[in-house]
Amino acid sequence: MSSETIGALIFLVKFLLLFVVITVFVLIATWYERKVIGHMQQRIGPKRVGWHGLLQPVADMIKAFFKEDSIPRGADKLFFWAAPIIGTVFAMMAAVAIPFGPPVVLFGRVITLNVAHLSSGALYVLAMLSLVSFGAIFAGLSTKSKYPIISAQREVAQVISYELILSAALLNSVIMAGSLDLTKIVEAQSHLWFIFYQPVAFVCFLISMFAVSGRVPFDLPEAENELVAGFMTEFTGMKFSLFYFAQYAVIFTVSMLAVILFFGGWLGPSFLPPVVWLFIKWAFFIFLYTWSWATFPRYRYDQLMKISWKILLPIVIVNILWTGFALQFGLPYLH
Amino acid sequence: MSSGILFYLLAFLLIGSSLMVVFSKDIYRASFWLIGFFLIFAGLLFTLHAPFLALAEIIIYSGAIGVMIIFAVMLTGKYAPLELNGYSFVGILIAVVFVTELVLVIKQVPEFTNFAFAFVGGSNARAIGISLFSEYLLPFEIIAILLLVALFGAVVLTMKRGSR
Repeated sequence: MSSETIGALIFLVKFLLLFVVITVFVLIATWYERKVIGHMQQRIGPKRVGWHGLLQPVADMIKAFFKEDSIPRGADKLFFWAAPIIGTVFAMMAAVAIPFGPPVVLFGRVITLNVAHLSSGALYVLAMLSLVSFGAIFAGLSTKSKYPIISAQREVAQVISYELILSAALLNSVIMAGSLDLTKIVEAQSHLWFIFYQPVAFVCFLISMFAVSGRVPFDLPEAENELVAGFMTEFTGMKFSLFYFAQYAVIFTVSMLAVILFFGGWLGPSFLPPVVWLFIKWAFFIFLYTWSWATFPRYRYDQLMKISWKILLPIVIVNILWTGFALQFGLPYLH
Repeated sequence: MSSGILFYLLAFLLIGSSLMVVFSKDIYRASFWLIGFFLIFAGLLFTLHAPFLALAEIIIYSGAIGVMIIFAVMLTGKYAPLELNGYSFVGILIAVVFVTELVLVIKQVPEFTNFAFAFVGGSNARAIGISLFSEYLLPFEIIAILLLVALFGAVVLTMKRGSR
């Protein structure tokens, strides 16, 4: 076999592996979130199917498969079909660039632990995440029904608010590492994690992270007690579950990104393999999502815009200037 | 030359999607095709070995501008099928002038396909950053001021009379 064929084969295997990991994560996360939130609210949560409701996601999946696929009469067919696909495809494409560990050497070949190794990986993930929201926007616009349209409007307002903060917060880590390569960003933290240099940028990133994935306190587009299910209201069966898949894939990717940018990625004491360290830190962020879901009230979208444009944006810009200044003049920077 | 075939395929798709933008009756559909257009254009930049430019294109044009267009349509709230009206004459005039200008410029450049390769070698982002802040510093600053003026203009226009 030629070297190119092997390379393509490795790419395919890595992609399938990533797909399996995310699918398993989505299945477990739906059960885990309902269970944890249940206990936080003094309820029991799913209990009927399997041991402590562990088979509940499987039952949900089977149900989604056999549901009738209905399209409202006045719907825009193109958007109605394209929207779930856009969301899922770009969410998966964002996850493709996330490295799960340092490059390993196997049979004399260097194999990077991300599906596609890009020299500007951080930018790539950002670009793909900015496209995921079009799934929700076009889904809301497709049906011409009133709740989805309000939801699409909120989604647009939300994208305008968080996108800038997310990129600007991410830029701080990029400046610190001097590279857009996610692997190099992790390697640059071998001395001290960036969270200790960039606590302000991390807080900004955390806030915009919740807004990206549309989770409480920023779950405005699908506020279920105001808008039925927001942009997903008219969707059934597999299309409906594709939106869920996209949302959880985004949560997966963004949590990984937070760990890589601020918490030293896979770095940790050597008694555990790097991948395990990465997933331990990542699990903390997943828990953070659930925790905030159970505890925070929802913001209005004008409040979200106010927070990001009037408070976070000045803070994060000053932070970028300060980072550049500190690096240029060698201020407290342990290297 | 597989990259040549890819280039022509992408160019073909690019023209197709831009025609869809022009001939869409629904403004949201037009924005949908416009976003597709930006994405395909980013793909074209990828084939020209300019990944940084391609990703910036996706973030700024597909992501931000695409959302802004939809936001603007939603804000004005005038949702009606698009039809040709009296102003389309002006649009056609501008298009003709712009295309002639482009053709004249392209004719003057001898090796038009090679411009992207100036950035190849090492990091794309670094090369662009260095050339922006050394060679093209003045245009860069002027554009920044222009954008600032536009920002102030928008604020002034939307400010209520009497509220200072």
